[in-house]
Amino acid sequence: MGLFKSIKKAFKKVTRGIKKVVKGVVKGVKKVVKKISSSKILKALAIAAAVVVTGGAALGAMGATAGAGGFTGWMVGASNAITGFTVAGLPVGAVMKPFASIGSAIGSGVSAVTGINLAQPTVALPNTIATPSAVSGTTATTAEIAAGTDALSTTVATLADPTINPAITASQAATGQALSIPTKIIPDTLSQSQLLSGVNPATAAANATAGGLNLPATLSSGMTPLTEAQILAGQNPATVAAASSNAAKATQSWATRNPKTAAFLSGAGTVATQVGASVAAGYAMHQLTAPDETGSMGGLRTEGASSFDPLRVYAAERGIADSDISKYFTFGNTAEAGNMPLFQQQTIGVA
Amino acid sequence: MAQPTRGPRPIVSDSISDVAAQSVLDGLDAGFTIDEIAPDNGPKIRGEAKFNQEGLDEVVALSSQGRPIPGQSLVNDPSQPYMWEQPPEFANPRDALDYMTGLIMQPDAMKEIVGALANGAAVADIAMVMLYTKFTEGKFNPDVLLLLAEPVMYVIMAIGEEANIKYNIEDSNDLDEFDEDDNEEEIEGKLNEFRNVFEDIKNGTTKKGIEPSKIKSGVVPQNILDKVKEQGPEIRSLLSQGEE
Repeated sequence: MGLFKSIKKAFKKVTRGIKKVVKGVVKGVKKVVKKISSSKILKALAIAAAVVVTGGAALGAMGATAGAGGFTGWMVGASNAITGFTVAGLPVGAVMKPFASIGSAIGSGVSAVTGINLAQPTVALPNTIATPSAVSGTTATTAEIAAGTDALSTTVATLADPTINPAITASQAATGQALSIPTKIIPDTLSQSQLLSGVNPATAAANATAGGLNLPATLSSGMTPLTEAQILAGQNPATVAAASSNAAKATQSWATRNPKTAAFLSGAGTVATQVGASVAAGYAMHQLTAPDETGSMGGLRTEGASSFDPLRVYAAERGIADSDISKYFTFGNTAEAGNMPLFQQQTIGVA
Repeated sequence: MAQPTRGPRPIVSDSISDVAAQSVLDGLDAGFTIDEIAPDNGPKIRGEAKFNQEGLDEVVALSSQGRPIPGQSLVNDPSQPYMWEQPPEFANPRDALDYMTGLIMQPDAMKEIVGALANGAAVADIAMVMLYTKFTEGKFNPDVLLLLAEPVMYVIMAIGEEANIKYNIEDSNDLDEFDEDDNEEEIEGKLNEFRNVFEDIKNGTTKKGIEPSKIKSGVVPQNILDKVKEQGPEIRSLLSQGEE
Protein backbone atom coordinates (compact mmCIF):
# COMPACT_ATOMS: atom_id res chain seq x y z
CA MET A 1 0.00 0.00 0.00
CA GLY A 2 1.36 3.37 -0.96
CA LEU A 3 1.94 6.19 1.46
CA PHE A 4 -0.98 8.26 0.21
CA LYS A 5 -3.40 5.38 0.63
CA SER A 6 -2.07 4.74 4.13
CA ILE A 7 -2.61 8.38 5.02
CA LYS A 8 -6.11 8.31 3.57
CA LYS A 9 -6.89 5.23 5.59
CA ALA A 10 -5.61 6.92 8.73
CA PHE A 11 -7.75 9.96 7.96
CA LYS A 12 -10.79 7.75 7.72
CA LYS A 13 -10.06 6.49 11.20
CA VAL A 14 -9.76 10.04 12.51
CA THR A 15 -13.03 11.02 10.81
CA ARG A 16 -14.85 8.04 12.19
CA GLY A 17 -13.46 8.98 15.61
CA ILE A 18 -14.87 12.50 15.29
CA LYS A 19 -18.28 11.17 14.28
CA LYS A 20 -18.22 8.74 17.15
CA VAL A 21 -17.37 11.52 19.58
CA VAL A 22 -20.22 13.67 18.25
CA LYS A 23 -22.68 10.83 18.76
CA GLY A 24 -21.29 10.17 22.21
CA VAL A 25 -21.56 13.80 23.23
CA VAL A 26 -25.10 13.98 21.86
CA LYS A 27 -26.07 11.25 24.27
CA GLY A 28 -24.28 13.00 27.11
CA VAL A 29 -25.81 16.38 26.37
CA LYS A 30 -29.29 14.96 25.97
CA LYS A 31 -29.16 13.99 29.61
CA VAL A 32 -28.83 17.70 30.40
CA VAL A 33 -30.69 19.30 27.50
CA LYS A 34 -33.63 17.36 26.16
CA LYS A 35 -34.25 18.81 22.72
CA ILE A 36 -30.95 19.18 20.99
CA SER A 37 -29.85 18.42 17.47
CA SER A 38 -26.65 16.63 16.61
CA SER A 39 -25.52 19.41 14.29
CA LYS A 40 -25.69 21.79 17.23
CA ILE A 41 -23.44 19.51 19.22
CA LEU A 42 -21.09 19.28 16.25
CA LYS A 43 -20.88 23.06 16.18
CA ALA A 44 -20.19 23.22 19.89
CA LEU A 45 -17.48 20.60 19.53
CA ALA A 46 -15.87 22.38 16.61
CA ILE A 47 -15.81 25.66 18.52
CA ALA A 48 -14.41 24.05 21.64
CA ALA A 49 -11.78 22.14 19.67
CA ALA A 50 -10.73 25.24 17.75
CA VAL A 51 -10.28 27.09 21.03
CA VAL A 52 -8.22 24.23 22.41
CA VAL A 53 -6.07 23.90 19.30
CA THR A 54 -5.34 27.55 18.69
CA GLY A 55 -5.87 29.04 22.09
CA GLY A 56 -8.81 31.04 20.80
CA ALA A 57 -6.89 32.43 17.85
CA ALA A 58 -9.12 30.71 15.33
CA LEU A 59 -12.26 32.26 16.72
CA GLY A 60 -10.45 35.52 17.31
CA ALA A 61 -9.63 35.55 13.64
CA MET A 62 -13.28 35.17 12.85
CA GLY A 63 -14.54 37.93 15.06
CA ALA A 64 -15.06 36.30 18.43
CA THR A 65 -12.83 37.55 21.18
CA ALA A 66 -11.99 36.31 24.59
CA GLY A 67 -12.85 39.67 26.02
CA ALA A 68 -16.38 39.38 24.71
CA GLY A 69 -17.04 36.73 27.28
CA GLY A 70 -19.22 33.73 26.65
CA PHE A 71 -18.05 30.19 26.32
CA THR A 72 -15.01 31.06 24.18
CA GLY A 73 -13.83 33.70 26.59
CA TRP A 74 -14.44 31.37 29.46
CA MET A 75 -12.24 28.72 27.87
CA VAL A 76 -9.55 31.06 26.57
CA GLY A 77 -9.25 33.06 29.75
CA ALA A 78 -8.96 29.97 31.83
CA SER A 79 -6.56 28.26 29.47
CA ASN A 80 -4.31 31.30 29.47
CA ALA A 81 -4.30 31.23 33.22
CA ILE A 82 -3.55 27.55 33.30
CA THR A 83 -0.81 27.63 30.70
CA GLY A 84 1.01 30.24 32.69
CA PHE A 85 1.00 28.11 35.78
CA THR A 86 4.31 26.69 36.84
CA VAL A 87 5.54 24.50 39.64
CA ALA A 88 9.22 24.84 40.47
CA GLY A 89 9.84 26.44 37.12
CA LEU A 90 8.17 23.69 35.15
CA PRO A 91 5.25 24.76 32.94
CA VAL A 92 2.64 22.48 34.42
CA GLY A 93 -0.14 24.35 32.72
CA ALA A 94 1.28 23.62 29.31
CA VAL A 95 -0.26 20.20 29.37
CA MET A 96 -3.66 21.76 29.52
CA LYS A 97 -3.33 23.34 26.11
CA PRO A 98 -0.73 21.35 24.28
CA PHE A 99 -0.99 23.03 20.93
CA ALA A 100 -1.77 26.57 21.93
CA SER A 101 1.09 28.90 21.39
CA ILE A 102 -0.38 31.22 18.83
CA GLY A 103 -1.31 34.71 19.85
CA SER A 104 -4.98 35.32 20.21
CA ALA A 105 -4.77 38.22 17.79
CA ILE A 106 -3.81 36.03 14.88
CA GLY A 107 -6.20 37.81 12.64
CA SER A 108 -9.31 39.84 12.39
CA GLY A 109 -11.85 40.94 9.93
CA VAL A 110 -12.74 37.46 8.76
CA SER A 111 -16.30 36.64 9.56
CA ALA A 112 -18.95 34.68 7.80
CA VAL A 113 -18.95 33.89 4.11
CA THR A 114 -19.84 37.40 3.17
CA GLY A 115 -17.73 38.97 5.85
CA ILE A 116 -14.29 38.04 4.61
CA ASN A 117 -12.32 41.23 4.45
CA LEU A 118 -9.50 40.81 2.01
CA ALA A 119 -8.85 44.52 1.82
CA GLN A 120 -7.37 44.47 5.28
CA PRO A 121 -5.11 41.45 5.52
CA THR A 122 -4.13 42.15 9.07
CA VAL A 123 -3.49 38.57 9.93
CA ALA A 124 -0.18 38.08 11.62
CA LEU A 125 1.53 34.79 11.20
CA PRO A 126 2.49 32.94 14.34
CA ASN A 127 6.04 33.36 15.45
CA THR A 128 6.24 36.78 13.86
CA ILE A 129 7.71 39.50 15.99
CA ALA A 130 5.26 41.91 17.50
CA THR A 131 5.50 45.56 16.66
CA PRO A 132 8.50 47.18 18.27
CA SER A 133 6.40 49.62 20.20
CA ALA A 134 4.51 46.80 21.83
CA VAL A 135 7.70 45.05 22.76
CA SER A 136 9.64 47.93 24.14
CA GLY A 137 6.83 49.76 25.78
CA THR A 138 7.77 52.98 24.03
CA THR A 139 5.99 54.56 21.15
CA ALA A 140 7.71 54.28 17.81
CA THR A 141 7.34 57.40 15.76
CA THR A 142 6.06 57.39 12.20
CA ALA A 143 9.52 58.27 10.95
CA GLU A 144 11.02 55.39 12.87
CA ILE A 145 8.43 52.99 11.51
CA ALA A 146 9.05 54.26 7.98
CA ALA A 147 12.78 53.90 8.47
CA GLY A 148 12.31 50.43 9.85
CA THR A 149 13.86 51.40 13.15
CA ASP A 150 13.31 48.83 15.81
CA ALA A 151 12.32 50.63 18.96
CA LEU A 152 13.44 47.69 21.01
CA SER A 153 16.92 47.85 19.54
CA THR A 154 17.00 51.58 20.10
CA THR A 155 16.06 51.15 23.72
CA VAL A 156 18.61 48.41 24.22
CA ALA A 157 21.27 50.56 22.61
CA THR A 158 20.35 53.45 24.86
CA LEU A 159 20.52 51.31 27.95
CA ALA A 160 23.83 49.85 26.85
CA ASP A 161 25.41 53.30 26.66
CA PRO A 162 26.92 53.92 30.12
CA THR A 163 27.10 57.65 29.59
CA ILE A 164 23.35 58.03 29.31
CA ASN A 165 21.29 58.05 32.46
CA PRO A 166 18.06 56.28 31.48
CA ALA A 167 16.11 57.88 34.28
CA ILE A 168 17.08 61.33 33.11
CA THR A 169 16.36 60.48 29.51
CA ALA A 170 12.94 59.13 30.39
CA SER A 171 12.20 62.09 32.60
CA GLN A 172 13.25 64.54 29.93
CA ALA A 173 11.28 62.75 27.30
CA ALA A 174 8.19 62.62 29.45
CA THR A 175 8.07 66.01 31.08
CA GLY A 176 10.87 68.06 29.70
CA GLN A 177 13.31 68.38 32.59
CA ALA A 178 10.64 67.62 35.09
CA LEU A 179 13.06 66.24 37.60
CA SER A 180 16.04 68.24 38.68
CA ILE A 181 18.40 65.31 38.69
CA PRO A 182 21.99 66.42 38.16
CA THR A 183 23.52 64.86 35.12
CA LYS A 184 26.82 64.43 36.90
CA ILE A 185 26.73 63.98 40.61
CA ILE A 186 30.45 63.55 41.17
CA PRO A 187 32.79 66.19 39.87
CA ASP A 188 34.86 65.05 36.99
CA THR A 189 38.27 65.63 38.44
CA LEU A 190 39.86 66.88 41.57
CA SER A 191 42.91 69.03 41.49
CA GLN A 192 46.22 67.51 42.46
CA SER A 193 46.31 69.44 45.71
CA GLN A 194 42.83 68.29 46.58
CA LEU A 195 43.73 64.71 45.91
CA LEU A 196 46.85 64.96 48.00
CA SER A 197 44.98 66.54 50.88
CA GLY A 198 42.32 63.82 50.76
CA VAL A 199 39.43 66.09 49.94
CA ASN A 200 36.04 64.41 49.64
CA PRO A 201 34.92 65.00 46.04
CA ALA A 202 31.30 65.43 47.15
CA THR A 203 32.31 68.04 49.68
CA ALA A 204 34.38 69.77 47.09
CA ALA A 205 31.46 69.86 44.74
CA ALA A 206 29.22 71.19 47.48
CA ASN A 207 31.68 73.90 48.28
CA ALA A 208 32.10 74.78 44.63
CA THR A 209 28.45 75.73 44.31
CA ALA A 210 26.92 78.25 46.63
CA GLY A 211 23.89 76.17 47.43
CA GLY A 212 25.74 72.93 47.51
CA LEU A 213 24.73 70.11 45.23
CA ASN A 214 21.51 70.67 43.41
CA LEU A 215 19.96 67.56 44.81
CA PRO A 216 16.22 67.77 45.24
CA ALA A 217 14.75 67.02 48.63
CA THR A 218 12.40 64.55 47.10
CA LEU A 219 12.80 63.27 43.56
CA SER A 220 9.27 62.04 43.22
CA SER A 221 6.77 60.25 45.34
CA GLY A 222 8.43 57.32 46.96
CA MET A 223 11.96 58.39 46.04
CA THR A 224 14.32 59.64 48.72
CA PRO A 225 17.60 61.51 48.31
CA LEU A 226 20.75 59.44 48.29
CA THR A 227 22.97 59.17 51.27
CA GLU A 228 26.49 60.43 51.09
CA ALA A 229 27.80 56.91 50.84
CA GLN A 230 25.51 56.25 47.90
CA ILE A 231 26.60 59.44 46.22
CA LEU A 232 30.24 58.56 46.74
CA ALA A 233 29.56 55.15 45.31
CA GLY A 234 28.20 56.89 42.23
CA GLN A 235 24.76 55.37 42.48
CA ASN A 236 21.92 56.62 40.35
CA PRO A 237 18.98 57.85 42.48
CA ALA A 238 16.46 56.52 39.97
CA THR A 239 18.13 53.12 40.03
CA VAL A 240 18.10 53.05 43.80
CA ALA A 241 14.43 54.01 43.85
CA ALA A 242 13.58 51.37 41.26
CA ALA A 243 15.50 48.74 43.20
CA SER A 244 13.63 49.57 46.38
CA SER A 245 10.36 49.46 44.46
CA ASN A 246 11.24 46.07 43.01
CA ALA A 247 12.20 44.86 46.44
CA ALA A 248 8.83 45.99 47.74
CA LYS A 249 7.09 44.17 44.89
CA ALA A 250 9.10 41.06 45.51
CA THR A 251 7.91 40.97 49.08
CA GLN A 252 4.32 40.91 47.86
CA SER A 253 2.77 37.52 47.51
CA TRP A 254 2.26 36.07 44.07
CA ALA A 255 -1.47 36.03 44.64
CA THR A 256 -1.48 39.76 45.43
CA ARG A 257 0.31 40.54 42.19
CA ASN A 258 -1.87 38.19 40.12
CA PRO A 259 -5.29 38.23 41.76
CA LYS A 260 -7.23 37.04 38.70
CA THR A 261 -5.02 34.09 38.00
CA ALA A 262 -4.81 33.20 41.65
CA ALA A 263 -8.59 33.12 41.90
CA PHE A 264 -8.88 30.57 39.15
CA LEU A 265 -5.92 28.55 40.18
CA SER A 266 -7.29 28.13 43.65
CA GLY A 267 -8.87 25.00 42.24
CA ALA A 268 -6.59 23.82 39.45
CA GLY A 269 -3.48 25.08 41.17
CA THR A 270 -4.09 22.95 44.21
CA VAL A 271 -4.10 19.86 42.05
CA ALA A 272 -0.92 20.87 40.26
CA THR A 273 0.79 21.83 43.50
CA GLN A 274 -0.07 18.47 44.91
CA VAL A 275 1.34 16.82 41.86
CA GLY A 276 4.48 18.91 42.16
CA ALA A 277 4.76 18.07 45.84
CA SER A 278 4.36 14.39 45.07
CA VAL A 279 7.08 14.59 42.46
CA ALA A 280 9.36 16.35 44.89
CA ALA A 281 8.61 13.78 47.59
CA GLY A 282 9.32 10.99 45.16
CA TYR A 283 12.63 12.54 44.22
CA ALA A 284 13.60 12.94 47.86
CA MET A 285 12.74 9.32 48.59
CA HIS A 286 14.76 8.24 45.63
CA GLN A 287 17.76 10.10 46.96
CA LEU A 288 17.36 8.69 50.47
CA THR A 289 16.88 5.06 49.62
CA ALA A 290 19.62 2.78 48.41
CA PRO A 291 20.10 2.58 44.69
CA ASP A 292 18.37 -0.20 42.85
CA GLU A 293 20.38 -3.28 42.23
CA THR A 294 21.42 -3.66 38.70
CA GLY A 295 22.01 -6.93 36.97
CA SER A 296 25.54 -8.02 36.23
CA MET A 297 26.58 -9.75 33.11
CA GLY A 298 27.51 -13.38 33.49
CA GLY A 299 30.71 -14.85 32.15
CA LEU A 300 31.04 -15.97 28.59
CA ARG A 301 29.30 -19.27 28.18
CA THR A 302 31.39 -21.61 26.17
CA GLU A 303 30.63 -25.02 24.88
CA GLY A 304 31.99 -27.94 26.86
CA ALA A 305 34.81 -30.09 25.61
CA SER A 306 32.40 -32.91 24.96
CA SER A 307 30.74 -30.83 22.25
CA PHE A 308 33.86 -31.12 20.22
CA ASP A 309 34.11 -34.94 20.45
CA PRO A 310 32.43 -35.65 17.13
CA LEU A 311 34.73 -33.13 15.52
CA ARG A 312 37.80 -34.72 17.08
CA VAL A 313 36.73 -38.05 15.68
CA TYR A 314 36.20 -36.46 12.32
CA ALA A 315 39.62 -34.78 12.48
CA ALA A 316 41.39 -37.93 13.66
CA GLU A 317 39.92 -39.92 10.79
CA ARG A 318 41.37 -37.44 8.31
CA GLY A 319 44.63 -36.67 10.07
CA ILE A 320 43.75 -33.06 10.74
CA ALA A 321 44.99 -31.20 13.81
CA ASP A 322 42.18 -30.26 16.22
CA SER A 323 43.19 -26.64 16.29
CA ASP A 324 43.03 -26.39 12.51
CA ILE A 325 39.67 -28.02 12.13
CA SER A 326 37.94 -24.73 11.42
CA LYS A 327 39.86 -24.48 8.19
CA TYR A 328 38.29 -27.67 6.96
CA PHE A 329 34.65 -26.69 7.42
CA THR A 330 34.04 -26.75 3.80
CA PHE A 331 30.51 -27.37 2.75
CA GLY A 332 30.47 -29.46 -0.37
CA ASN A 333 34.20 -29.60 -0.44
CA THR A 334 34.59 -33.34 -0.48
CA ALA A 335 37.68 -35.55 -0.51
CA GLU A 336 37.23 -35.86 -4.23
CA ALA A 337 37.71 -32.14 -4.49
CA GLY A 338 41.04 -32.39 -2.61
CA ASN A 339 39.69 -31.39 0.80
CA MET A 340 40.63 -27.93 -0.15
CA PRO A 341 39.36 -25.20 2.19
CA LEU A 342 36.99 -22.75 0.58
CA PHE A 343 39.17 -19.72 1.12
CA GLN A 344 41.93 -21.32 -0.88
CA GLN A 345 39.74 -22.19 -3.81
CA GLN A 346 40.40 -20.41 -6.99
CA THR A 347 37.80 -17.81 -7.70
CA ILE A 348 36.72 -16.44 -11.02
CA GLY A 349 39.39 -14.15 -12.19
CA VAL A 350 38.48 -10.59 -12.95
CA ALA A 351 40.31 -8.99 -15.78
CA MET B 1 -25.92 35.74 28.97
CA ALA B 2 -25.50 33.29 31.79
CA GLN B 3 -22.61 33.81 34.12
CA PRO B 4 -20.53 30.68 34.64
CA THR B 5 -20.63 29.47 38.17
CA ARG B 6 -17.00 28.39 38.05
CA GLY B 7 -13.93 28.12 35.88
CA PRO B 8 -13.29 25.18 33.62
CA ARG B 9 -12.08 21.97 35.10
CA PRO B 10 -8.59 20.79 34.15
CA ILE B 11 -8.73 18.37 31.24
CA VAL B 12 -5.82 16.33 30.04
CA SER B 13 -6.15 14.02 27.09
CA ASP B 14 -4.21 12.94 24.06
CA SER B 15 -7.21 13.45 21.80
CA ILE B 16 -8.60 16.78 20.67
CA SER B 17 -12.03 15.22 20.21
CA ASP B 18 -12.06 14.05 23.77
CA VAL B 19 -10.97 17.42 25.11
CA ALA B 20 -13.62 19.19 23.03
CA ALA B 21 -16.32 16.82 24.24
CA GLN B 22 -15.29 17.24 27.84
CA SER B 23 -15.07 21.02 27.44
CA VAL B 24 -18.61 21.21 26.08
CA LEU B 25 -19.99 19.08 28.89
CA ASP B 26 -17.97 21.08 31.40
CA GLY B 27 -19.32 24.32 29.96
CA LEU B 28 -22.88 23.06 30.29
CA ASP B 29 -22.16 22.01 33.83
CA ALA B 30 -20.70 25.43 34.61
CA GLY B 31 -23.93 27.15 33.65
CA PHE B 32 -23.70 27.83 29.94
CA THR B 33 -26.59 26.88 27.72
CA ILE B 34 -26.01 25.04 24.48
CA ASP B 35 -27.17 28.14 22.59
CA GLU B 36 -24.45 30.17 24.26
CA ILE B 37 -21.81 27.61 23.39
CA ALA B 38 -22.99 27.18 19.83
CA PRO B 39 -25.01 30.26 18.88
CA ASP B 40 -27.65 29.80 16.24
CA ASN B 41 -26.91 31.87 13.14
CA GLY B 42 -29.99 31.02 11.14
CA PRO B 43 -30.40 28.48 8.37
CA LYS B 44 -27.19 27.01 7.08
CA ILE B 45 -25.80 26.90 3.58
CA ARG B 46 -25.89 23.32 2.35
CA GLY B 47 -22.49 22.25 1.15
CA GLU B 48 -23.75 19.50 -1.04
CA ALA B 49 -21.41 17.86 -3.52
CA LYS B 50 -22.89 17.75 -6.99
CA PHE B 51 -21.78 15.47 -9.76
CA ASN B 52 -19.87 17.30 -12.43
CA GLN B 53 -18.84 15.43 -15.56
CA GLU B 54 -16.26 18.04 -16.43
CA GLY B 55 -14.62 17.72 -13.05
CA LEU B 56 -14.63 13.95 -13.26
CA ASP B 57 -12.97 14.04 -16.67
CA GLU B 58 -10.31 16.34 -15.30
CA VAL B 59 -9.58 14.01 -12.41
CA VAL B 60 -9.40 11.02 -14.75
CA ALA B 61 -7.05 12.89 -17.05
CA LEU B 62 -4.83 13.88 -14.17
CA SER B 63 -4.70 10.43 -12.70
CA SER B 64 -3.84 8.80 -16.02
CA GLN B 65 -0.73 10.81 -16.73
CA GLY B 66 2.58 11.51 -15.12
CA ARG B 67 2.78 8.25 -13.25
CA PRO B 68 6.30 7.26 -12.35
CA ILE B 69 7.78 4.15 -13.86
CA PRO B 70 8.05 1.38 -11.24
CA GLY B 71 11.46 1.64 -9.65
CA GLN B 72 12.02 5.14 -10.96
CA SER B 73 12.79 6.51 -7.51
CA LEU B 74 15.64 4.03 -7.16
CA VAL B 75 17.57 5.61 -10.00
CA ASN B 76 17.30 9.15 -8.64
CA ASP B 77 20.49 10.93 -7.73
CA PRO B 78 21.01 10.44 -3.96
CA SER B 79 22.74 13.79 -3.74
CA GLN B 80 19.54 15.53 -4.82
CA PRO B 81 16.78 14.00 -2.73
CA TYR B 82 13.17 15.10 -2.77
CA MET B 83 12.03 17.53 -0.10
CA TRP B 84 10.24 14.80 1.79
CA GLU B 85 13.37 12.67 1.76
CA GLN B 86 15.26 15.30 3.71
CA PRO B 87 15.00 16.10 7.42
CA PRO B 88 11.69 17.92 7.95
CA GLU B 89 11.47 21.57 8.82
CA PHE B 90 9.20 20.90 11.79
CA ALA B 91 9.98 17.91 13.92
CA ASN B 92 7.81 19.13 16.77
CA PRO B 93 4.07 18.67 16.10
CA ARG B 94 3.28 21.81 18.09
CA ASP B 95 5.45 23.95 15.84
CA ALA B 96 3.98 22.24 12.83
CA LEU B 97 0.45 22.90 14.06
CA ASP B 98 1.27 26.55 14.65
CA TYR B 99 2.54 26.74 11.12
CA MET B 100 -0.51 25.03 9.66
CA THR B 101 -2.96 27.07 11.70
CA GLY B 102 -1.19 30.22 10.65
CA LEU B 103 -1.61 29.24 7.03
CA ILE B 104 -5.28 28.35 7.43
CA MET B 105 -6.04 31.60 9.21
CA GLN B 106 -4.89 33.69 6.30
CA PRO B 107 -7.87 35.49 4.71
CA ASP B 108 -7.08 34.11 1.26
CA ALA B 109 -6.88 30.56 2.55
CA MET B 110 -10.04 31.02 4.59
CA LYS B 111 -11.93 32.24 1.59
CA GLU B 112 -10.87 29.21 -0.41
CA ILE B 113 -11.73 26.84 2.43
CA VAL B 114 -15.16 28.37 2.91
CA GLY B 115 -15.78 28.16 -0.83
CA ALA B 116 -14.70 24.54 -0.94
CA LEU B 117 -16.90 23.61 2.00
CA ALA B 118 -19.85 25.39 0.44
CA ASN B 119 -19.28 23.44 -2.78
CA GLY B 120 -19.41 20.13 -0.98
CA ALA B 121 -15.75 19.35 -0.35
CA ALA B 122 -15.31 17.23 2.74
CA VAL B 123 -13.39 18.49 5.73
CA ALA B 124 -11.20 15.38 5.73
CA ASP B 125 -10.31 15.85 2.08
CA ILE B 126 -9.37 19.51 2.52
CA ALA B 127 -7.28 18.71 5.58
CA MET B 128 -5.57 15.82 3.84
CA VAL B 129 -4.71 17.83 0.76
CA MET B 130 -3.27 20.65 2.84
CA LEU B 131 -1.24 18.37 5.06
CA TYR B 132 -0.05 16.11 2.27
CA THR B 133 1.08 19.11 0.24
CA LYS B 134 3.09 20.38 3.16
CA PHE B 135 4.54 16.92 3.66
CA THR B 136 5.74 16.86 0.06
CA GLU B 137 7.26 20.29 0.63
CA GLY B 138 9.33 18.78 3.43
CA LYS B 139 7.65 20.65 6.25
CA PHE B 140 7.01 17.56 8.39
CA ASN B 141 7.20 13.82 8.23
CA PRO B 142 4.23 11.44 7.81
CA ASP B 143 4.03 10.77 11.56
CA VAL B 144 3.60 14.45 12.34
CA LEU B 145 1.13 14.68 9.46
CA LEU B 146 -1.09 12.09 11.09
CA LEU B 147 -0.80 13.83 14.46
CA LEU B 148 -1.97 17.05 12.83
CA ALA B 149 -4.92 15.47 11.05
CA GLU B 150 -7.43 15.78 13.86
CA PRO B 151 -6.65 19.34 15.02
CA VAL B 152 -6.50 20.67 11.48
CA MET B 153 -9.84 19.06 10.69
CA TYR B 154 -11.36 20.70 13.73
CA VAL B 155 -10.00 24.11 12.73
CA ILE B 156 -11.55 23.68 9.29
CA MET B 157 -14.81 22.57 10.86
CA ALA B 158 -14.77 25.66 13.08
CA ILE B 159 -14.34 27.82 9.98
CA GLY B 160 -17.27 26.03 8.37
CA GLU B 161 -19.41 26.54 11.43
CA GLU B 162 -18.48 30.20 11.63
CA ALA B 163 -19.39 30.59 7.97
CA ASN B 164 -22.70 28.89 8.74
CA ILE B 165 -22.19 26.07 6.29
CA LYS B 166 -23.56 22.58 6.61
CA TYR B 167 -20.51 20.70 5.47
CA ASN B 168 -19.45 17.15 4.71
CA ILE B 169 -17.02 15.66 7.17
CA GLU B 170 -15.82 12.58 5.35
CA ASP B 171 -17.22 12.21 1.85
CA SER B 172 -20.24 11.11 -0.17
CA ASN B 173 -22.54 13.80 1.14
CA ASP B 174 -22.64 12.84 4.78
CA LEU B 175 -23.76 16.31 5.79
CA ASP B 176 -27.21 15.02 6.76
CA GLU B 177 -25.90 11.99 8.60
CA PHE B 178 -26.42 13.42 12.05
CA ASP B 179 -29.83 14.78 11.12
CA GLU B 180 -30.88 11.34 9.90
CA ASP B 181 -29.87 9.91 13.24
CA ASP B 182 -31.87 12.63 14.93
CA ASN B 183 -34.91 11.87 12.76
CA GLU B 184 -34.74 8.15 13.50
CA GLU B 185 -34.48 8.92 17.16
CA GLU B 186 -37.37 11.34 16.95
CA ILE B 187 -39.59 8.82 15.16
CA GLU B 188 -38.70 6.18 17.69
CA GLY B 189 -39.52 8.61 20.49
CA LYS B 190 -42.90 9.48 19.03
CA LEU B 191 -43.74 5.83 18.55
CA ASN B 192 -42.93 5.18 22.18
CA GLU B 193 -45.03 8.15 23.17
CA PHE B 194 -47.94 6.86 21.11
CA ARG B 195 -47.63 3.42 22.68
CA ASN B 196 -47.62 4.95 26.14
CA VAL B 197 -50.67 7.08 25.40
CA PHE B 198 -52.49 4.09 24.01
CA GLU B 199 -51.68 2.10 27.11
CA ASP B 200 -52.79 4.97 29.35
CA ILE B 201 -56.09 5.25 27.54
CA LYS B 202 -56.63 1.57 27.73
CA ASN B 203 -55.74 1.37 31.40
CA GLY B 204 -57.54 4.58 32.26
CA THR B 205 -60.75 3.36 30.67
CA THR B 206 -60.88 0.15 32.61
CA LYS B 207 -59.78 1.77 35.86
CA LYS B 208 -62.33 4.52 35.80
CA GLY B 209 -65.04 2.02 34.98
CA ILE B 210 -66.54 3.99 32.16
CA GLU B 211 -69.70 2.29 31.07
CA PRO B 212 -71.34 3.12 27.76
CA SER B 213 -74.65 3.41 29.59
CA LYS B 214 -73.27 6.20 31.77
CA ILE B 215 -72.19 8.33 28.89
CA LYS B 216 -74.42 11.30 28.41
CA SER B 217 -76.44 11.28 25.31
CA GLY B 218 -75.24 13.61 22.60
CA VAL B 219 -71.60 13.59 23.68
CA VAL B 220 -70.69 10.57 21.59
CA PRO B 221 -72.44 9.81 18.33
CA GLN B 222 -75.02 7.07 18.65
CA ASN B 223 -73.44 4.77 16.05
CA ILE B 224 -70.12 4.73 17.98
CA LEU B 225 -71.98 4.02 21.21
CA ASP B 226 -73.69 1.11 19.56
CA LYS B 227 -70.36 -0.24 18.42
CA VAL B 228 -68.93 0.06 21.91
CA LYS B 229 -71.95 -1.69 23.39
CA GLU B 230 -71.57 -4.41 20.85
CA GLN B 231 -67.82 -4.74 21.51
CA GLY B 232 -68.24 -4.90 25.23
CA PRO B 233 -66.42 -3.10 28.04
CA GLU B 234 -62.98 -4.31 27.09
CA ILE B 235 -61.21 -3.24 23.95
CA ARG B 236 -59.75 -6.36 22.53
CA SER B 237 -56.89 -6.71 20.19
CA LEU B 238 -57.58 -7.93 16.72
CA LEU B 239 -55.11 -10.72 17.31
CA SER B 240 -56.50 -11.80 20.65
CA GLN B 241 -58.10 -15.19 20.99
CA GLY B 242 -61.79 -14.96 20.37
CA GLU B 243 -64.53 -16.47 22.51
CA GLU B 244 -65.15 -20.12 21.88
